[in-house]
Amino acid sequence: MNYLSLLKGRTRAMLTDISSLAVIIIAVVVSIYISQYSNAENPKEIMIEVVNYDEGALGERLIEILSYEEDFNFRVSNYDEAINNLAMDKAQGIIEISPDFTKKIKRSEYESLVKVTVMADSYEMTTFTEMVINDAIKVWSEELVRKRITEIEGSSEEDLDEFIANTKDAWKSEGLLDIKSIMAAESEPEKEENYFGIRWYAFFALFYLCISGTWMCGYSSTGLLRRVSGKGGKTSLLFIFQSLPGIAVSLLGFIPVLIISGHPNPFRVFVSFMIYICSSAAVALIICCISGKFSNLVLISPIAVAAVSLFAGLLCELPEWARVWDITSVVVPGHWFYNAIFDKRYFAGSVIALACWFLLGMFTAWIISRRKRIE
Amino acid sequence: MNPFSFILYDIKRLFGHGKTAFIAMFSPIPVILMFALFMAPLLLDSGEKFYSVAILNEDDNEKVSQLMNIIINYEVEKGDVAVYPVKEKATGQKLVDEGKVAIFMYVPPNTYVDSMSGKKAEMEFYYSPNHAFDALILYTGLKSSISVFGQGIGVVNEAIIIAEKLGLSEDEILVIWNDGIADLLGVFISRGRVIGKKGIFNFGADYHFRLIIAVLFASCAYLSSFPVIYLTSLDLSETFSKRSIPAKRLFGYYVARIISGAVLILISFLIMFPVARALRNIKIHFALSVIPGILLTALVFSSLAVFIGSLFKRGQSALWAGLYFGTASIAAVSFLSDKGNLPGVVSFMMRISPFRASVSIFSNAMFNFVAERYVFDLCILAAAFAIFFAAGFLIYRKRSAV
Repeated sequence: MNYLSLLKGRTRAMLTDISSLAVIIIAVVVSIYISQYSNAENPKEIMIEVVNYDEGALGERLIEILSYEEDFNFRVSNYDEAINNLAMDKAQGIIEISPDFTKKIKRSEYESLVKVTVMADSYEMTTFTEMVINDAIKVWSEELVRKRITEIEGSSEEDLDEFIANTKDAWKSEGLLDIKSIMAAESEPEKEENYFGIRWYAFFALFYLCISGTWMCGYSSTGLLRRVSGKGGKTSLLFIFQSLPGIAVSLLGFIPVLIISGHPNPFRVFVSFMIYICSSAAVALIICCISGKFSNLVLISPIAVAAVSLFAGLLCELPEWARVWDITSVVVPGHWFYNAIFDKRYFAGSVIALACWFLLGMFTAWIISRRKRIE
Repeated sequence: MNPFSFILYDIKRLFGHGKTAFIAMFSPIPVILMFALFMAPLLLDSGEKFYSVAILNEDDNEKVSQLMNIIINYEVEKGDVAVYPVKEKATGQKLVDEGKVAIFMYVPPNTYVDSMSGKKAEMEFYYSPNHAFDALILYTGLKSSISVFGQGIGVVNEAIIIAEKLGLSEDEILVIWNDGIADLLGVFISRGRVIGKKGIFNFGADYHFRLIIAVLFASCAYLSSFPVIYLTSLDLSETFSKRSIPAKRLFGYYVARIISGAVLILISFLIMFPVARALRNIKIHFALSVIPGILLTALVFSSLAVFIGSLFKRGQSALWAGLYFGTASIAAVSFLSDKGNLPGVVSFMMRISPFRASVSIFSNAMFNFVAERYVFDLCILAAAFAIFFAAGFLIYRKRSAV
């Protein structure tokens, strides 16, 4: 049995299959983007429409204070324009300042000063309403204190001007009272670097091995397996030689991602990725065998790959309450790769996981091919 | 054959085509399970006391006690919070560490005096990782409000400086001072009234939860259309290309395929919809308002699937196209929808994307309902359906041997 010719044939087929090759190319580009994006300060560009109906001057002051908020872009417009932009997804929220905004504040009232409309189009809107309320309160407080000053005997316009000048930037400065959050002592401290680029590439690479593994779908039935068995070949060697080109392409794609991620220990991460990607080939074999054909594979592989990667903590951090998950995820190759990224012990565990997944893959292929033969 | 039989026949074909249709139909289940796992404490605790908060106030100033009351009053009133006063900081921390309470709020001694005398004071908010999702929403809202209160103190301080300059006595200044702080506290107690809400307003909101659940809904629905893509491509390259079919009959097959595809997508919605309703106890009128969105989404995704399936001679290529299109749409909505500085073309494509319209209609209709956005999204979906339907049939007709 000439395994090298199998390897050559598979390499040729893989390099000419642009559809699946595009997956790994996109994976490299996206992972590099994630590496840079997750480490950079990202300006927020959420657009908010402000409709100022206020007949007095304090509405303008509210708009000025709102403009200090760095998370949002505010655009002053009329209601028709604002609602059109909200409807057409050009804006994510509307703040309507009531016509009697100034009048009410001057009377120290704060009932219905503004109306807020929020769309759930962004992850950043969580505290939007909070922010609008707080900013309205800022205007209200300023006016109240100003009123108190005018009530002091002997106060003049100059005093008021002085107060206005001194408090103009008060809302930009740090408050004298603050609150800090601290997670419980048992939990892990928040990581300074999350290496999402590397982690997401690992997810994409597994997806690539699955989606480009149509040869493994037919592997368990007739075709290649029958021919190889007929010639006295070993199915395990067939799998290894057929998988090698996919593994090599994934490893090649990993190099720029690893370099750009700036990981302090790239050699360690590269070795762990090598073991991870070999285990992933075995995982892909199981997914492909179960799928049986490409139409099933495109449905099963995104969900299965997302589940396995999520379980391993590659896509995002596992929730702290899922202790059982954390323990049981040792069976997933991604768990050990994650450990390697964050300087935890990985080698023995990842090698054992590789051996187990390889055996499980072979067993699954054998079971399904046996079932197909009976059918 | 009457039109109903056409549809029934096609549904049988779609579901009889191996296990693909069933995988597509049930694909939302693992997705929802994965999502539910991240929300586990939230789901398990629903209907019961949600937060248990240990509190230690080592500042004996009355104003601080008032402020603490403001912070937790709303949740206490709602019955979502159980408060446990503790006597030592270590006890509070231990309770959080052991998971016995979700949050421990600590006010150090002299917080009030320090902040009033121009020194920065800091309260502490310990939270259990088991409640990280909700605790951090609460924390973000709290931080925003407390820092405004802290900045407000700075404004009152400026007034005091002017009062001193104007020659007011210490007692008179104290009156101004106390009144100012009392006013600030007063407005914070009823801060929900600023936006026309009654009582104390909750800290933070779960808009990101709403967006995620809507994206999951639309993604699962899109995924369910894959068998339609595959079977359409297969039909056109095998059965229809070899046999001459009259145009009217072909149109019947075409419509039947779109309807049977929509039925398949609707079934996957049937699985998701009750789960979403249970997750957030969505009000019934909101839940009902989603139904037109669900129907149109099913029709759009089905016609899009038939369109993609008709474009490619090989079923595999059609599936690749569907996969790439879907991935790009999901990624764009998940990561770009709130970006205001996208290039004009991208921004326009985003706006007319049926996937975005579908996500928007779910997050909007299920939770707050802004009628203008709802109508716009319905129009986008209806237009997308008309375009895919017409374009799809042209290609469908061209590819078959009419």
